[in-house]
Amino acid sequence: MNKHFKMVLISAGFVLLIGGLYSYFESEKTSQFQLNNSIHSYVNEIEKLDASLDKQVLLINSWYFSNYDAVNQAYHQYQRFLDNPPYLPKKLASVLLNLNDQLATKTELIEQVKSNNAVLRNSLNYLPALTNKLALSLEVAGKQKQLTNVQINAYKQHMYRLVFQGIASQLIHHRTKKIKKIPSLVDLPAEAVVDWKNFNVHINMLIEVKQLDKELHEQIEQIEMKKNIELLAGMFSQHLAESDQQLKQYQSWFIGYLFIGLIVITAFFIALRYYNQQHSKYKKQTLTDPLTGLGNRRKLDKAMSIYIEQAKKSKTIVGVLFIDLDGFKNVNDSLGHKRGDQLLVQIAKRLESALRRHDLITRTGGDEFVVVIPNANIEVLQRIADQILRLLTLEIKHRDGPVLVSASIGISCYPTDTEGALQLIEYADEAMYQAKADGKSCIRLFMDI
Amino acid sequence: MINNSMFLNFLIVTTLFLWVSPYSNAHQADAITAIQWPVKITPKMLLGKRLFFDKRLSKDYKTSCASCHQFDRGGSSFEKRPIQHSGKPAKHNSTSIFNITQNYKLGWIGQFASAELHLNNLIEEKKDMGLSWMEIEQRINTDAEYVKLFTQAFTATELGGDITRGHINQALVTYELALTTPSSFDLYLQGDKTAITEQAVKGFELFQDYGCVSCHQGKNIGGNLFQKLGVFETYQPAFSMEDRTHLGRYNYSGKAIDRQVFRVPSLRNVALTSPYFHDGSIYDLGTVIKLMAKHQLGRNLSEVDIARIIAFLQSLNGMPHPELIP
Repeated sequence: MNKHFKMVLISAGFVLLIGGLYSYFESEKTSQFQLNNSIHSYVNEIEKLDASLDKQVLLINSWYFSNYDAVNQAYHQYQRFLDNPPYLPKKLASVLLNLNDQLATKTELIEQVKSNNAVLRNSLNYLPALTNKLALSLEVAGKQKQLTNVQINAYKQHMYRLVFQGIASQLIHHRTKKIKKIPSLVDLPAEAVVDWKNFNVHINMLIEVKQLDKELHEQIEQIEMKKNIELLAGMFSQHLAESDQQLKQYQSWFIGYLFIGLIVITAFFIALRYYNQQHSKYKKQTLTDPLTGLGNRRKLDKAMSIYIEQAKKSKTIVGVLFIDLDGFKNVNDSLGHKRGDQLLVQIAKRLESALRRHDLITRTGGDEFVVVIPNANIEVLQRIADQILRLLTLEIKHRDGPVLVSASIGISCYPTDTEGALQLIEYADEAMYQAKADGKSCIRLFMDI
Repeated sequence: MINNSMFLNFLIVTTLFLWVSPYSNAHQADAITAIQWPVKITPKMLLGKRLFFDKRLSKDYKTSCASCHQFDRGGSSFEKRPIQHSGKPAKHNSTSIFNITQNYKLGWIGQFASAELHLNNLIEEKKDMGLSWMEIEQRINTDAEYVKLFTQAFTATELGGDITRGHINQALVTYELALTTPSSFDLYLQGDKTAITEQAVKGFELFQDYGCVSCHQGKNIGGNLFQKLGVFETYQPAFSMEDRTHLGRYNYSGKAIDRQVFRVPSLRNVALTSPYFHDGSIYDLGTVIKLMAKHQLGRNLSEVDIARIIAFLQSLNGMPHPELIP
């Protein structure tokens, strides 16, 4: 029952351990999965925000432009998003720093594009009205005969040529070589001179600003944020593969460690058990008489004190029977040591059969036996002694005639005789000597001598 | 000959129109968009309002945020440059606290990336109010009523233990961002053609025709880009060698390209925020319009047109939500 319970406990522990490990790996997996998911959506979102910022920058120069709030909004969202990243692996974080720097330089350029674009819009907005006004005043001057048609044409051609130059300078430049030089301002009516000068200023501004706009857009294109974002995405997928592999590796390592650990623990237990076995075997050997398998003198000494203690507690009587074989020397001499040993084994068996389970039988010397009988009284002791005497009185047949073996028994009693354990055995010994002196093969109580 | 030139004329005007139309589109629709009051007044805004007008946030118990951002002055100040706690005048004329948005830089030279940073900078430099964050936190934490208001405005997890600079900053900025001032012009934009006077409508048309709207656009009619002061003609204000305010964003970025570059100010409540310009050097709105047209647009405006534009600009006056004003 106890053993089964232990087995159940151990197997339950194993199940729990493996279950715990499994759930640990699962939770690790899911947490990593969630983290990777958040990074994944973050990278995606950066791509979107970058595209929307680029779109808004392109929109500045387009038909669909309304105001600069949209660009600012796109930039602001982008910046805020870059400022608040989720937990990122080290490599990715460094790319993010690059992105931040790039966005900073890009926004500076965008600011310039915006201011430049405002000036460009202003001039482009003004120029149609201005050219129209100039053309009208030229025609008025023609009607008033201040200018000839040829002069008016020259002014107009020059004006339109400048406008076209402002839009696409190269193509016009090729043709201008054929066209006459700039008409002088002197011929113009006074009110048109101001407009003419203003026109020149705005056209020059337009050309300058347009060129700057082109350069700025080129500079913006040179900031390759997309490349870095792609790098980020690439690094992320690489990181995914690596972390997956790492997790698997950890898992296999962990299982390996677990097995090694189990083997070590099992080996330890086996070693411990073996040691215990050896130890108890040795202990038993030291306490037993090798020939008969009974206890020896050491065992008697050890057990005696325990019996006495128990008797003291339960207030019972412990009897000690000291048995010495009579004529054993004859057996040895005439029958040989081998036969003598056989006789001793036989006697030990007989003693065991005569006594109760809790009684202790020891062989303390060559032909000396000591029997300890707890929970006894004098009558019981006497009876047991009588029985033993009867059992040990043997006649062994031999070709030289039979050899007689009998026993002399001395009895001492706790607590009536003495309370000391060793003394009790001594007293029994003394009683036995008395029995020998009284003619052997008899029983003597210590209290009687 | 004349036929030939007429054809050329036609061709050129058509081409020019086609070229220009995407740009001129900006001056037609959506260049300026309407704004609204905040939909819901939260306890955090009201707490911010209390802090905004509280003079205990200054060392001498005399200055509050409202000292430089006066509500009857369009959120700006009547002083050229407000005198700071140290006794020296501020670097710039104070910009309006109304209609600031979270998505663009603030200040005359865009020196503050956000309203939070403006507030932090102002207190950490200890120039304006003369108190450090530590002292302000102490003053507020010892005031039972403030503690009560903060616990109402913030959740327990947000507040944690004591009231910190983060909470104070958050409350103030929430309030400031809620200070939008919709005007009669916004009603006009939303379709009510009688919301502003005829003079103002004409002024708005001129505002677009002259190209003011190139820079002064967006929901705040400006405030969302940088521009050089003196595009067509250099603007040379009187300045001393120590005072380099006229260098504009150059003082912040140190780049040659940023010389005399300023953030285009919002024109909402502009009729109330005199004196004008970064240094508060000009008090008259008409003069400002004239100077702007001359230096920024390369145009000379007639008095009639200026009067019309002023009428338009006056239609931009508005007030924050009634619960948010003192």
